[in-house]
Amino acid sequence: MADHGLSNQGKASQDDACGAHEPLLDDFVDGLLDGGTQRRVAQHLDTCDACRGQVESLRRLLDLASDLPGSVEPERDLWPAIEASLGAQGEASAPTAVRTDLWRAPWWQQAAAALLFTVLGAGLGRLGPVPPGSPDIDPDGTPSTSVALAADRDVPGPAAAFAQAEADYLRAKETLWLALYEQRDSVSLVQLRTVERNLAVIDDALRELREALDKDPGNPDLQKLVLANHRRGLDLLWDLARVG
Amino acid sequence: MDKTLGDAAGDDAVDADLIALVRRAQGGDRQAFEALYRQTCGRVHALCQRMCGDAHEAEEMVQEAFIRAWEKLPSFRGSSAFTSWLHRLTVNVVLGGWRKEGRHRERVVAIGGPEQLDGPTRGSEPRLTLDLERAISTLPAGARTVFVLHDVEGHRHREIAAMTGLAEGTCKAQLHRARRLLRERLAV
Repeated sequence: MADHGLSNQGKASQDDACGAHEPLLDDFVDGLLDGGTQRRVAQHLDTCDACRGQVESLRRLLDLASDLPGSVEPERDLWPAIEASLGAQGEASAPTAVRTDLWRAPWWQQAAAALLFTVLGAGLGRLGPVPPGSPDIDPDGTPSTSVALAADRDVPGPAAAFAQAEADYLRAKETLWLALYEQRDSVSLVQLRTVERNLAVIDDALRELREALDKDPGNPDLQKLVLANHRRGLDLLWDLARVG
Repeated sequence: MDKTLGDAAGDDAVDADLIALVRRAQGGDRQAFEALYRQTCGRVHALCQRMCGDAHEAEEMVQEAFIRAWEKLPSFRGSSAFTSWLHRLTVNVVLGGWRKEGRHRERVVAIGGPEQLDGPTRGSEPRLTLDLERAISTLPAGARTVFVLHDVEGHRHREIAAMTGLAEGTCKAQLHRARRLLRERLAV
């Protein structure tokens, strides 16, 4: 508290009084104190410049708050996006939010879940110990994008395995994301946007990791980091699918 | 003191117009709903902007609020002003959105202490209303929410506690914190 121009003993006493009254000042300006306490605080303010200053400061703040405009138009027209969301609900009546749980999920969620778990399992499995003498490049060329057949393929070299994991991830992400987008009427717009933003962050990280891998192909640590980011991206989508 | 999205006494006529639009929208009339949006989006946006402290998130919340309003319109019976109903719905949308992103929001609250604020603008020109908007956006989420609902929107602590699930004492503590930070920030 500020110096009140009192003797040491008087100052200590005044500081004690401030300490007792300061927590009440918010309720004082809001008029929430009972009559006796309100009077006691008012009496203290008569003798304490510091607390009186605080009350005046609080009142200036409240005046400013009350002067804030009640209406602030958004910088862009949000109606088209809102209308598009309503459009998915059917023309005749106001829509009702659809909530699903995991075990009553529509076909696309179940398919996406199967895809997700297959990709995660296959991707991590592919980064196991490298067979001695394995070539760095898959002699078969372009990897298959068939996730369902992943477990049946021969174990390829690490670079090809990594390329396969990448392809599987991109395919799973697109499948899940497109399915979610088609069902956007039953998924919170805020959640969709949040996932979009988080996926963008993950994609940025992946881009950096891929650049690092270009300089150091076959680096198992970098490959694991990439797959960990794959998992983060798919987890995000899967979380959204579960709450949608 | 509750000014919500409208000024209670003076907005009766406006609300009567809104009610006519609400009735049409309840019947599936999207043009009526768009008219409702046009008349109220500024107020909904102001609330979201101040609660979120982030323009992008605020726009998302506005969209979500109107989508939710469309969904919930059949449940609006006219026992309260439409603007008050929409205001409460918007608050619930924002708070509900944060609950779903609980971990993110906790982190924001945890790192959003006074040390996160820039130094006070002492000695600067008092463009205080604008400064207040900016200062509100820098508050920690919990303090910001209570300040906006109490000091800007005019809700009582009991109402805020009911909306947020906080204890009234916690609301008061958050309000005290918010006011202290804002007074420091604005040097008022």
